[in-house]
Amino acid sequence: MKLSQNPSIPKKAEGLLRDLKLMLLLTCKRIIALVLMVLIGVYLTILIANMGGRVDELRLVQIRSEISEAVRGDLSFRELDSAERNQLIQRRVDLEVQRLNLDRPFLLRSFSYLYRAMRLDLGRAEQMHSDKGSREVHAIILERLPATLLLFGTANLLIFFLSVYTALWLSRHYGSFMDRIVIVLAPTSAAPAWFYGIFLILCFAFLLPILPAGGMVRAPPPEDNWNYTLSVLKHMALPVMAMLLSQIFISIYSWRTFFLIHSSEDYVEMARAKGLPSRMIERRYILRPTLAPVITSFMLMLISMWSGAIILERTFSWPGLGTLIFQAIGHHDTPVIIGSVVIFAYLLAFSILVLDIVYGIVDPRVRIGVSR
Amino acid sequence: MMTEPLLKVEDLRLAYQTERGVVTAVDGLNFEIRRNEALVVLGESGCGKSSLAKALLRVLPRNVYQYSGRVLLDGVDIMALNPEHFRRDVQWLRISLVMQASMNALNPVVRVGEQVAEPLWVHRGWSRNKAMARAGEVFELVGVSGDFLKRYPFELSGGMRQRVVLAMALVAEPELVIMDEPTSALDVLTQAGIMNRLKRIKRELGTSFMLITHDVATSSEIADRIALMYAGQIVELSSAAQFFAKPAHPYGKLLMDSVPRLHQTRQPDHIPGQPPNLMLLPSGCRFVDRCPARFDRCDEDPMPIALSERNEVRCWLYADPTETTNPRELIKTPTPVLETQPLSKEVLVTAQDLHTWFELKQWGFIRAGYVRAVNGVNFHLYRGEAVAFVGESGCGKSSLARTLLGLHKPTQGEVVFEGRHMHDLNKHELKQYRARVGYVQQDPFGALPPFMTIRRALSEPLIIHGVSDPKEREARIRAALEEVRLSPADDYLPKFPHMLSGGQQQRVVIARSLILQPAMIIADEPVSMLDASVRVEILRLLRTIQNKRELTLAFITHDLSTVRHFADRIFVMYGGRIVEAATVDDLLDFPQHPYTQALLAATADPDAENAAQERELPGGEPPSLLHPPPGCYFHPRCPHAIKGLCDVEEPPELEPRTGHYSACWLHEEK
Ligand SMILES: Nc1ncnc2c1ncn2[C@@H]1O[C@H](COP(=O)(O)OP(=O)(O)O)[C@@H](O)[C@H]1O
Ligand code: SF4
Ligand code: SF4
Ligand SMILES: [Mg+2]
Repeated sequence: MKLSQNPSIPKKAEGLLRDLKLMLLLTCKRIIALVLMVLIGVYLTILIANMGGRVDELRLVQIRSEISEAVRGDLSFRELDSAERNQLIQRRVDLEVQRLNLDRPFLLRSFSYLYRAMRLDLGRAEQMHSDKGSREVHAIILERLPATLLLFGTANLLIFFLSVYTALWLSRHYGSFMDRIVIVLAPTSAAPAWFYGIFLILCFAFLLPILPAGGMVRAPPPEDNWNYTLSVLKHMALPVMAMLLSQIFISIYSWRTFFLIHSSEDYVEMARAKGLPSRMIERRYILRPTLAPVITSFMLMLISMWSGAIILERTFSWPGLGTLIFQAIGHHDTPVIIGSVVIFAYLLAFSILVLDIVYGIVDPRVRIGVSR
Repeated sequence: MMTEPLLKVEDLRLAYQTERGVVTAVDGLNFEIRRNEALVVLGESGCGKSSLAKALLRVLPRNVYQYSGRVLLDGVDIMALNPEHFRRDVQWLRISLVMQASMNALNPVVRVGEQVAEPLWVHRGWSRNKAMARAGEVFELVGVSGDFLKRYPFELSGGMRQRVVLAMALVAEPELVIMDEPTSALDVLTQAGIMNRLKRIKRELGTSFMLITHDVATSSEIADRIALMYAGQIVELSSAAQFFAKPAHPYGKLLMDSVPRLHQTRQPDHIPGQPPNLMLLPSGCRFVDRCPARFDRCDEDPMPIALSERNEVRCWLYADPTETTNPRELIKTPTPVLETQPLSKEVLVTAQDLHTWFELKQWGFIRAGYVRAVNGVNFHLYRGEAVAFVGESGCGKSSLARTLLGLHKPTQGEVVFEGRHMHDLNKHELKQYRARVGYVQQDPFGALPPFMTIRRALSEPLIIHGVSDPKEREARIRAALEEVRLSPADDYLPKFPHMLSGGQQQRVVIARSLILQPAMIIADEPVSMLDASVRVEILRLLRTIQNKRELTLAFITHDLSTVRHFADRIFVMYGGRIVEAATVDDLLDFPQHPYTQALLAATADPDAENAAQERELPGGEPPSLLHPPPGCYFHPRCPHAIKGLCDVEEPPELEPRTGHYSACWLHEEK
C-alpha cells in the first residue's frame, strides 16, 4: 500500500498562536469527555438511589398507608361505608401516584430524572427542607454548598502551596534536619482526616477548650460581619487542621522526592553547567517540568478529599454537603441524595477540567500531544 | 617559544565518597589544550572521562570527597575563583559542555530556541530578541533550520536534538567546548553528519575542543591529540598521527588492535580481563593484570615518562630513553583465526513477503494508521550460516527479529521454519519452535530476572520444556556455562545478575539461549550496550559457538564495522525493507545500493587522516514508517535519484553482481 504523501514536516502555525489553538482544542475535548462522565455518574446514582425501582414500591406502600390513615382519621368521611371509603382511598392513591409519576415504568422515569438532574432541576425533597423552610432540593443544596467549598477550598489550597514550597526548599537542603523530620513524619498520613479530627476535638475543645468542637458559627450568629467572619474562622480551624495533618507530610515528602529526582535530570545538570543562577534553575528547570505531575497528584488528593467529606463534616457537624448527604440517606430522601450527588459530580468534573486546562498550559507535551 | 596553551590542567583530582569507600575517578591529571586544538580523551567506560569533564566545569554531585588541582585558563587559575565569579565569568562564556546522554539535556517544557539563547541574556545581558536572533544563527551553523527555534525538544528527532545541544554549547562563542560522548547514542549517518559540522566549526571559528569518547573510530574524526585514559589516569598523551599509527602504551596498542575495521583482513582481538576496581587499585601499574608485556618493575607505580616534547607515556617499558623498546614486539598474542564452515545449502528459515505492521491508535480506539515496521521482506537463511541484519535504529530490525521469534504475528506473509509454516503451528508446537530458536537481547541486565540466581535463570527454560531430572538440568547448565567460558561454574551459579559485569551477564544470556539446543540463534544488537573492549570478545564467542554447533546465527546490528569477521552474509535494511543482500566481502568491497554506500562512507576506520576531511553524506532523516515516501524509500536522500522514476515507482530487486542483490533502479539502467 502506498501513500502519495510527502513525509516532510507539515507547516504548523508557529509559537503562541499554535499553542492557543491547541489549548482551545484540548479544552473542548476535555469538556465533552467530562460531560459524558458526569452523565454516566449521575445516571448510576439515580439507579442506585432508587435501588432500580425498589424504592418506588416502598413508597407506594407508604403512600397507601398514609392516605388510608388520613381518610380514616377524617371526621367528614365517618359516615361513608367501607366500600366507598376504599374507593376514595384508591382514587386519592391514584392521584398521588400520578402526581409523582409513579405509574410510568421506572426506566422511562430514570431518563427524565437524568434530564432534569443534568439541568440542575433537582425537584422537591420528600422529607427534608432547608433552614428557611423551602422544600426545593436546589435551595437545600445551595444553602449547604458554600460551607463545603469554603472548608475544602481553604484546606486544599493551604496544603498545596505549603507542601510545594516546603518541598522545593527541602530538595535544596537534602539530608538536613528538617528533611529527616519530614521523612519520619510522612507515615502519619496513613490515618484519615476524621481520625485527627476526633483527636483535635479532644485536645482543643475538651481538654483545652479554646476552639469550638463543631458547627460553623456561634449559636446565635453574631450580628456584624467582622465578628461573624471571626467566628467562622475559629470554627474552621480544627477541621482545616485535621485535613492538613492527614495530608501535609506525605505531600511534602513525595514532592520533595520528586524534586530531588528531577534535580539530577540531565537538563538540570546542563543548566548548572550553563552557569544559570540557582533561583532560575529551580524555577525554570525543576519546578516547571515537574508542575504537571505535581498538579496531578494535587488533583488526586482533591478527589480523595471530596469523597472523605461526608465523614469529616459529620465529625465536626459542619453544615455542608457531606452532612446533607448523611441526613438524606437517613431519611431515604431520594431527590436530595440524587441532588447532592449531582452537585458533587459537577464539582468533581469542574475541578478536573480546571486542572486539565492548567496541565495543558504548563506542559507543552499535553497540549501539542492532542494534535497528533 | 611555543604558544601559551589555552587550558593547562595540573594535578587535577576528583574523588567521590560512596557507601563502600572513596573512589578516585580523576587521579592527578596533567595536560594542556592549545588554541584551535582538539584533544580527544579516549578510554573505556568507568575510567573517569565524564568526571573529568564535570570537574573542569564544576558540575559536581553532592558526594564529592576530594576536588583539587589547578586549571589554568589563559594563565588564570579558574579553580581558585569563587563560585559566583566562576559561574558568571567562566561557565559558558569561555568553556561550555555538551554532556553525555544529551538526548535528555534539553528541558522538555521550554522551547529549544529559548534554551539555546538563555546563556546570552543571563551572562551577557542581551535582550531576548537579540539573543534569539543569535540562536537562529547558531542553529544554521549546526545545520538545524531556524524554523525549529520555537519547537519543543520532543518535537525534534534525536539527531536534531543533539545538534541543538551543540548549538547551545557554541552560542556564546566559548574558547573551549567540552563534549562528552556527543554522538554515541546516534546512528552512523547522523553521527558522521555531526562530526562533519564539528570539523567545519573548528576550522572556521578556531574553537578548541575536548572530545570525550570510548570509540576509537569516532575519536579519529577530529583529534589533533589523544589522551588515553585508564583507571583514572592518563596513560598516554600524544599526537593523533602518532597514536593511530603506533601507540606507545601497551593498552593503547591492544585497544587499537581490538577495533573492528571495515577494510582489514586481520581479525580484531580482544583485551582480556577488566579494568581494575577504582576502590581496590593494584599498587603498581594499573594495567598490570591485563598487560602482556609486564615485567618485574611493573609492581611499582610508573610515572609519566616524556618521549618527546609533547608526548608522554606511563609505562616502565620506556624508563630508559636510550633503549627504544617497541611493545609490539613484546606482545605476542597470535589470535587464532576463526575457522568458518562452508555454507550448507539446506534452508532453515524462509521469510516470504513478510509484513509486520503495528496499528497506531488515537485516543485508544480510533485507528490513526499503521507503523510499517517490517514491510515486505523475503529471504532464506541456511543451516549453519551467520547473517547480519544492518540498518539504522527504527528501520525495523528488532521487529523483524521478534517476528521470526514468533513474538509478533505477521500482518501478511509468513515464516517457514524447517519446512513448516509458522502460522500452522498449534500452541504446543509453537512452544517447541521457541525451544529451537534462541534469543539474545540487547540489554543483558534487562533480560535476566534480577531476583533469580544464575542457576535459577538457566534452569527455568529447562523446566518449562519438561526436563524434570534435576541432575540432568544441573549437568546441562554447567555445560552451557562452560561453553560461554564462564568457569568455574560454581563461581557464577549462586550469583545474582547485578553481581556480574555486563560482558558476563551477556554470556549468561547466551548460555540461556543455548541451553535448549536450538537450531538458530537471533541476537538483537548483542554488544551495543557493552563496553568497546568486551564487544569483540562476545562477538567472537557467538561466532565460535555458531561454528561449532553449526547453528544459524541471525545477528542484528547498526554498526557495519563489526560485521566483517562475524557474519557470512549481510542484509541491509532501510525503512522496513531489505535493500541490499550479499556475502560480507562482496557487500563491503563492492557496495551497490546508494544507501549502503552512504553507510560505508560514514563508517570510519581509525586514522589520523580522518580529521582532515569531511565525509560525503546524504542529508535528511530516515523515512517515517507511518507515512513512507512513495517509490524508493531512499529517494528523498539519494544523490543518484532519478526524477520521475525513483519517486514514483518502487525499485525491483536486481542482481548487479552474481549473488549480490540490490533494490535500486540504477542497476537496471546499466
Ligand atoms: N509493539 C509495538 N507497537 C508499536 N510500534 C512498535 C512496536 N514495536 C516497534 N514499533 C515501532 O516499529 C519501528 C521499528 O522498530 P524496531 O523494530 O525496534 O527497529 P530497530 O530495531 O531497527 O530499532 C519503530 O518506529 C518502533 O516505534
Ligand atoms: S608498566 Fe608494565 S604493566 Fe604497566 S603497561 Fe607498562 S609494561 Fe605493562
Ligand atoms: S532507486 Fe533511485 S532513489 Fe532509490 S536508491 Fe536507487 S537511485 Fe537512489
Ligand atoms: Mg532495536
